[in-house]
Amino acid sequence: MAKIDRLGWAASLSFSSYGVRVGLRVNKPEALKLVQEYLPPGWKPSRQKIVERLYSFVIGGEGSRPGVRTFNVLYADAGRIARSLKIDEVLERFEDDLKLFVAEAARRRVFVHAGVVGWKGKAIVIPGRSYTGKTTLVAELVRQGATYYSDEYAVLDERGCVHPYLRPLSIRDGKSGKVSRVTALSLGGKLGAKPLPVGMVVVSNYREGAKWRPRKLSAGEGALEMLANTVPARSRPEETFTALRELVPHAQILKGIRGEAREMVDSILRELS
Amino acid sequence: MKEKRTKTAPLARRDGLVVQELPDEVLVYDSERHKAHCLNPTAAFVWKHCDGRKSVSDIARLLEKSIGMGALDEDVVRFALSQLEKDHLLEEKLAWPVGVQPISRRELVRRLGIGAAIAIPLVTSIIAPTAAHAGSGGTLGSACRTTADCGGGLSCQNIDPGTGIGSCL
Repeated sequence: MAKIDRLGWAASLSFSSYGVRVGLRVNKPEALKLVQEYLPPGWKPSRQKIVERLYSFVIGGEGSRPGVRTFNVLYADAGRIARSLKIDEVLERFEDDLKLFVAEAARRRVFVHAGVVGWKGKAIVIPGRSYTGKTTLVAELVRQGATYYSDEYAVLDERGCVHPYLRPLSIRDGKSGKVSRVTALSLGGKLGAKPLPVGMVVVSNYREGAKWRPRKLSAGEGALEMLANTVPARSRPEETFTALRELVPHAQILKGIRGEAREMVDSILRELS
Repeated sequence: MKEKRTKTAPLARRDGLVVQELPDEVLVYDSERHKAHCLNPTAAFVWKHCDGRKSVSDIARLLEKSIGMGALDEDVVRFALSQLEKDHLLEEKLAWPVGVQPISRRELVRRLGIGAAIAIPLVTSIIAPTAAHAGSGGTLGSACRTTADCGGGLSCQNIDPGTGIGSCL
């Protein structure tokens, strides 16, 4: 760490997110603004000098000799986590690492990897990992009038309510796999503001041509489905169980294979209405 | 097989477990193995009564009274205990009396009938994910389209030309 400390830092920022204190420093002052775009939703500047994780950005670019480019390098505490000539790749790695760190270390909140929308005062939670079509479903629900809460994490409190985790939706192009950021507002949606009790949990996987015929899961089975996507499941099982205990008995929990999002969304919204 | 009474008095494990009761079921987190279990009402009932004093037949009698189904007998309790034992939710390995073994689920369903199948003890289990596995960031073996989807120095390999999806390796 001392070696990294000696690299020469031009600007720094201390902030907190969900009670987690994080610091970052850059070797070029103008880079600080760029990096801030990748901070998690709801971050706040902080005066704390002691942080739980420190990110150090060495911004590369044109080197001292003509035709020579230097790498962009990112350290998390003392470990190097990214090195690339493309600044975007390093920033994406930063975003991923930071959001996961905050999700695991957050105080009094349990982060479940899930998409979330609000509908008639209740939240619809769609737990699942990457490539299960969460964002596609969330986007379609928002187009149909649901309120956007998250396409990344369901942030649960001890009462089992879901808080907004508002960041642009990351929509993958089906063919190229390229991710584009789309705001919920551009889909004609509204942004969630208040925590909501969970009315429905939808566990689904996409299969072309499949028809949505879900089966209802028991509260316990639903809790396991949520736990399978919970970031602090291992580090904070008590808190996880407390949140799930409040959530699952009051929610409908549906599981099945789905086809196109649009066909499924109508059925979900009807069910919850 | 003729019914035989057993003197076995099973004892539920408590150490290293986080237990959460739901209205009808019980969730159990095993901090040593990082496994989470959901015990359905019958399995939960049996587990709660494994106090090291009650025998299998005692628990069977209590279960009959609780659920109100006459068809439930020691075999149901033995089946529950065999599942609880397999999932390390009992303190000790059970010693079954000679000639007495837990019957299979299929045999239990056949004997109880479809109507009573709801009373069959069931323990559903998952391995709890690590923080990285629960997140989007590609960890070893997770799906990806490009190396940018993979974390921890992994790269996206074995990309299926049809789906465009590979694995972080």
